[in-house]
Amino acid sequence: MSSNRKDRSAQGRGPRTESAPGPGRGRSGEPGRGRSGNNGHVLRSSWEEELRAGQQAEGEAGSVEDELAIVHLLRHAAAPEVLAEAAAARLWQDIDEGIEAQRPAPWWKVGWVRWVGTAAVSAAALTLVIVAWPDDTTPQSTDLGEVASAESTASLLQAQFEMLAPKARAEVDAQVDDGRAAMRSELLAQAAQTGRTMGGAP
Amino acid sequence: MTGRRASILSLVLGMGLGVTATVVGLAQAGRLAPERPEVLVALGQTLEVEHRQVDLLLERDDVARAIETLEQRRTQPWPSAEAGGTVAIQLKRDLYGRLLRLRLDHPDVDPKTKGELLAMAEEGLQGAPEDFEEELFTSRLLAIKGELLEEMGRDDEALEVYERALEINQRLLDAELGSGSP
Repeated sequence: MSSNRKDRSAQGRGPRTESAPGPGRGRSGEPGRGRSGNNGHVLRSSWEEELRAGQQAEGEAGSVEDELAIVHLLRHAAAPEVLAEAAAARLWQDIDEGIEAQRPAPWWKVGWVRWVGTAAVSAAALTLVIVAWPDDTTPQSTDLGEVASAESTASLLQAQFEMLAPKARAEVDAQVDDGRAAMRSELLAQAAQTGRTMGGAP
Repeated sequence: MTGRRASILSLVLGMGLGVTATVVGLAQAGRLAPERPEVLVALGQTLEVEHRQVDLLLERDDVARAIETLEQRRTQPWPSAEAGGTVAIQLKRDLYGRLLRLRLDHPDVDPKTKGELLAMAEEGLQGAPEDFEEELFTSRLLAIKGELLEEMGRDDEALEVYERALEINQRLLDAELGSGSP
């Protein structure tokens, strides 16, 4: 671009050569100074106008955006354009969103996994509630109509008895054993008191 | 040991002793210890042998002799609650319950009327002190009484007796589940 542009400029056509940033200011001069009317921007609207004028003069047509972008880049490299803090923040946000959009979603954010996982957790919680829910099946009503028939109530009581009987009998046996132990102790105490032996020794 | 530590230790031990005494006392509530342990031992050992005898007879399908054995024991004098303690009452009700169950399951063997069996059940439920804590053998005897009342058409009384038996069992089951036993 540059060579052609320079050739055309040498011929008086095309855009004028770039002007210095301003009298007394270097390329690295502070933005916004010495660029009257630019407000810190490296490009001026006149650049685009001159590019279009040169294009028309050469009988060309079309967009000059590419050319403008290159000029912008070169000018920005020479004198960085000021970017407001808010604009910079928006830029970084756009960059982050772009990166995020291209990043593959974690497995737990995948649509079907989320639905299936939610359903599984809900089912597990419901199952837990149903299983752990206190279920009092003992008939408490005094209404004859609600009490089961004699056969079923008696069967229920019989079943409960058979379930609890072993432990109940074991407790009774244990108490009988305690009685035996008490008797044994009493007998031994009596024997010691009287001084009798159990036989054998005189 | 410093004075402060000794105070804390004595406080903790005292609390532990108090809790233990309370728990033991509550556990023993309603239980009457036998004044004559030899009575309880004699009764317990005798019944143990007789129950095994009945088991053997039932294995040989000799229901008639099994019922006869239990009937002979039933008609013998039973020790009072003071002499034999609450365990003697439980042993009595256990035997009555087993006898009545056999009779209900085999009505053709030495047949008795419903009224006679009901009187037998009520006889087995007698003799307990007022603070006697009704237990499993009592609930079975009550259940059998309820069956008899139901068969005799005395539904209201049967219902009342059934509820009493169910309350006992529910209490026992709750205690069983609370202890963590399977």
